[in-house]
Amino acid sequence: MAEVRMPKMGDGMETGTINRWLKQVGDKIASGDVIAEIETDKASVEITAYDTGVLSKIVIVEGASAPVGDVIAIIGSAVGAAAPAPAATRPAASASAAPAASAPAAAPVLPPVASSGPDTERVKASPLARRIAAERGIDLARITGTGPGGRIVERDVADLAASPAPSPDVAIAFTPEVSAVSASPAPSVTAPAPSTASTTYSDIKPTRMRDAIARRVTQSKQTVPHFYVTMKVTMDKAVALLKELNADTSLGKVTVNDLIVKACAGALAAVPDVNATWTAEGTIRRYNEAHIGVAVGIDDGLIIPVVKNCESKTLRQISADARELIGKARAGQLRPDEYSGGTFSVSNLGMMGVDEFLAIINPPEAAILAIGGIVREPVVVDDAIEIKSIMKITISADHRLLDGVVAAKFVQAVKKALEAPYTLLS
Amino acid sequence: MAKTTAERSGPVSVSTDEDIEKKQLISSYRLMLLIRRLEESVYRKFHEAKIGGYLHRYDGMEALVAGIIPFLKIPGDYVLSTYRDHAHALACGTSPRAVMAELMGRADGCAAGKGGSMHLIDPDNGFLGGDGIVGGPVPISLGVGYALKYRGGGNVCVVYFGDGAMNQGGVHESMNMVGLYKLPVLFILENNQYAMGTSVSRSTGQPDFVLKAKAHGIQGEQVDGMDLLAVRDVAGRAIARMRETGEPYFLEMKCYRFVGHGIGDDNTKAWTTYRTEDEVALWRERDPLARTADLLLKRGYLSAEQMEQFEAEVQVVVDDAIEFAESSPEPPLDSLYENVYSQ
Amino acid sequence: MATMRYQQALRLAMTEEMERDPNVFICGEEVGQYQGTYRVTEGMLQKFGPRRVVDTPISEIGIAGMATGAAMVGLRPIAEFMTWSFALEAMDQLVNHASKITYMSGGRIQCPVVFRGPAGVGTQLSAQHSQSMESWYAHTPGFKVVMPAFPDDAKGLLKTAIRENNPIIFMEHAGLYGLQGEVPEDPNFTVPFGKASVRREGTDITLVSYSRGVHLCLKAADALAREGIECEVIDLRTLVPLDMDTVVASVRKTHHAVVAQEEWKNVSFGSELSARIHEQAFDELDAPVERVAGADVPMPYAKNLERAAIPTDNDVIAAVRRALA
Repeated sequence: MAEVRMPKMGDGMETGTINRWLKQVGDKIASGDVIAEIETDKASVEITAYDTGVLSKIVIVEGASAPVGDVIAIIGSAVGAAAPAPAATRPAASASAAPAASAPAAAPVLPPVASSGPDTERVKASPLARRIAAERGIDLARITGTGPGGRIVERDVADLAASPAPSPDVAIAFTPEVSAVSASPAPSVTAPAPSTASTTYSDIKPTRMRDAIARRVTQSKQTVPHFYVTMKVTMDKAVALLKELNADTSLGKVTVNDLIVKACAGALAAVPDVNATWTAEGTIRRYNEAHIGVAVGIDDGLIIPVVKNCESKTLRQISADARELIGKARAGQLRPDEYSGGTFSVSNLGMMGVDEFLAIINPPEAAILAIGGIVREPVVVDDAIEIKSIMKITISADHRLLDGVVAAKFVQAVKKALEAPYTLLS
Repeated sequence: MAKTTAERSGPVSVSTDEDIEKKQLISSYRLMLLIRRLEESVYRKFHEAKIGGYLHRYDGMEALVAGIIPFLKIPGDYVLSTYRDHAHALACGTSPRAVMAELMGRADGCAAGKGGSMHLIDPDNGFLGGDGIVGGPVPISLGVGYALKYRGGGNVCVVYFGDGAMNQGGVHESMNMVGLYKLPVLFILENNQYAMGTSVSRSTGQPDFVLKAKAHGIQGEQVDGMDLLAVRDVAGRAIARMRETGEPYFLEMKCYRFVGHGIGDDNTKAWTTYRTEDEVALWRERDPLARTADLLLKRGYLSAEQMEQFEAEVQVVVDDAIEFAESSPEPPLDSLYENVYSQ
Repeated sequence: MATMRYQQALRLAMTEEMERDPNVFICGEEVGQYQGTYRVTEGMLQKFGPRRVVDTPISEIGIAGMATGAAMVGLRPIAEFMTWSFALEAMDQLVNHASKITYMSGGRIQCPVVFRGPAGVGTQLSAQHSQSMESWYAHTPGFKVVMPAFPDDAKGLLKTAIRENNPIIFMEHAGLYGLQGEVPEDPNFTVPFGKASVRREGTDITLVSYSRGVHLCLKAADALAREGIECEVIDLRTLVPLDMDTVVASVRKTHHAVVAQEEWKNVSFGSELSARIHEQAFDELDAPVERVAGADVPMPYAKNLERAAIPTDNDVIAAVRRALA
């Protein structure tokens, strides 16, 4: 059992007021966790725990004050019963009868420091919608509510998770085996203690995004019968073209990925069976537009912004759109409509030195194309060995509506376009 | 006063045999002494913060209970009173310990600490409680009276209330119904002449209270409430008659309280705003406790030594009650939500 | 089973209980010789005699005191108020005496009394005779508050009330006295307190009400069903004790709720219901709980004004639409 005491957070601080408890009684606490926000006479600051266990008692409630050094909470052992309160605890120190945090009258009142991120407008959501969003890892800030006054209500979030229609909840990883993409904290697994045979571990509560990814990939892999077709693409001409295009960067840099997206757009038009969905009703829905998702690894997982209407966009337009979306994704600023509604996706791990990999389909899409790195390797050309830039692409396809031949035709179409890249400039 | 009463009511007596009378008077005297000494102890306990809330003493009015309640048949008969109720509980037979513990809000109080001074209660001893609402017990007495008549058996309900209550509508509604249904309710009007700080002359258009009872079809008379013998004599005859006829009766007990309305009144001496110290002194000369002591000495029922011994014994009882109450636990917090409903 | 009116069901309950328990008696204005203002006690004087069916003067304090005092010493009185509006005269006896005596006595006194009579709004009876004040009593610890909406419940709940060892506020609705329904004739039939009745099952929204409000909700539910909105209608039957389990279970299913009552809206039973739903099912709600209630005015006499003051099924429908917006 450990006591959390009101910390001295600055010279001259004598008392602090609890603004907000970020952990509740019963929550697991790891050393270093932020457990509360307190307000001193100068600012509002966060308190981190020095101990690990379970928050067993909150001694100083929100809005109440305590002198520096007084016990404000108790962290009990994770397995033990709630620790009894020490004799010294008091319900609330009390100068302030008002529940709101009140700074001493003489001190200037500073605006509280937000605990994370920039100040955002309060999201209006019904309690039910909040609960569902929390359970499914949906970020409410990215949803536009359809209830009275723009309130996010059940239907706004229920559709995201449950409906087979294109949905914003599909900000999902398809490459669980390549966890390196995600910069999320590595699970901390302590080495077995040498003296005993038992394994020690700590349980980590996944982030909401991690949780959502876990559920979505499981759902996809369990309900969508995947099959895979791989092909090698010779990229020398494409690389040369990019070099040419990027000689002038005033129009923005075009990437290999942009070329691939453009090639996919053409392939989807050529093999429209791929640009489709197996619906919940058991019908095949074929899309007229090619909205192509581009998987982006971000700090806390993966997200797939969608480049809309690739069928009618030029390479430059696709490139500009993708650049903007990827930037927003990394800044956490994507709007829901920017990461929903895809009809096909591309996942590229080439820059990570990956040769090839198998991606998991992003439902309700019918396929995803996994892109490996461009590798200089010897190939046989007209019975001679030449060194070429080779890139392996692998389609993961939903066998319910796609067969091997169709998948092969699609990959072939992509290959053909990339190997004659000037066609992509039209 | 007693003479007037005798003229009105005729020569019926509860105890013709002198030995019985002697025993009863001694018993009533001891009760009055207990009431007085216990009441005298409570202000100190209030100032020690062991008793809270309102605190209304019965000093000077002891004859009203000592001359009536000991002659009731308990169980069977019932008593209801106002918030000036310590005396009624003690007269009904509630133990001084249970009374004091209730005053101190303890678990062993007669209402488990939930009633306090104004709501002493002891149904096992026929006491249906003190009532904090002026006039409040009178409608209840109508119901108790109806139940007694419903069951038959000659029991009576004695309801005590003050001169202030005579100006409450519900009292008259109830008296009318008691008169209408002819229920065995004995109305004891404790006319101590002040409804809190308002004298009868300042509150009452028609001060003939017996007339008001008669207006509701209830016979009654006025009695000198400072005279134990008169109270005992008149009430005894009234009750005996009620047991036969089942009909109500009304007694206006002219009396006086020697202390303020409540402890607040005495703490601040606010009682001087409505009565003079001379007036109080004058009435104190008619102290029913002293008069009864004199009577018992004069008649040779008790010696001065026996009187002193009684004093000592009563003091032991009061001290014991205080000690008991102070050592009684506070009611368990679990009991907060108990008794809101009966099972 | 027999088909009978609400008012007959009440009479049957009292008759059965008076036959069963000699301690039960009725007192009130015009309950005997006049046969009951609303004929609820019709024939009972003839059957049980003046000792057990007691005509009183127009003295509500006296009636309330008579019933309370008799209950305190072991009888089981049923006190009839000609209307609950008149019971206001007796508030001190009800609130300061009947509801509190058990607690004040540390449980040493029981008070098994039923106060009953018509509550609710009438037709052009204006301000002093057309009102509903159940929240006054539900607010007061010590009372149990019963408001049946159907004849079978009227009988079963009144029998339970008479057998209860607590003061019961039994509010009938004058507008329901003539309502016909199937009523069990079995003298052992009772309806427990604290158990709400789901009068209609639905998936989209929960309508919670009692007394005549239940009928408004059922009518609204019928209309809404035609557009595909399925309302679950809960009849609380007793306000105290309150069956929040049934209410919360329903809200967990529908995620929307409307509470409906005839009494004034301000600080009313619907306020309490709404607060409790928010407290106990906050995370289940997809919209704030909507309230349907009487206008916060003394009841006006003029027909058009009265219509505007009394809640209707259309008000319930409007509330449902707000909740589902």
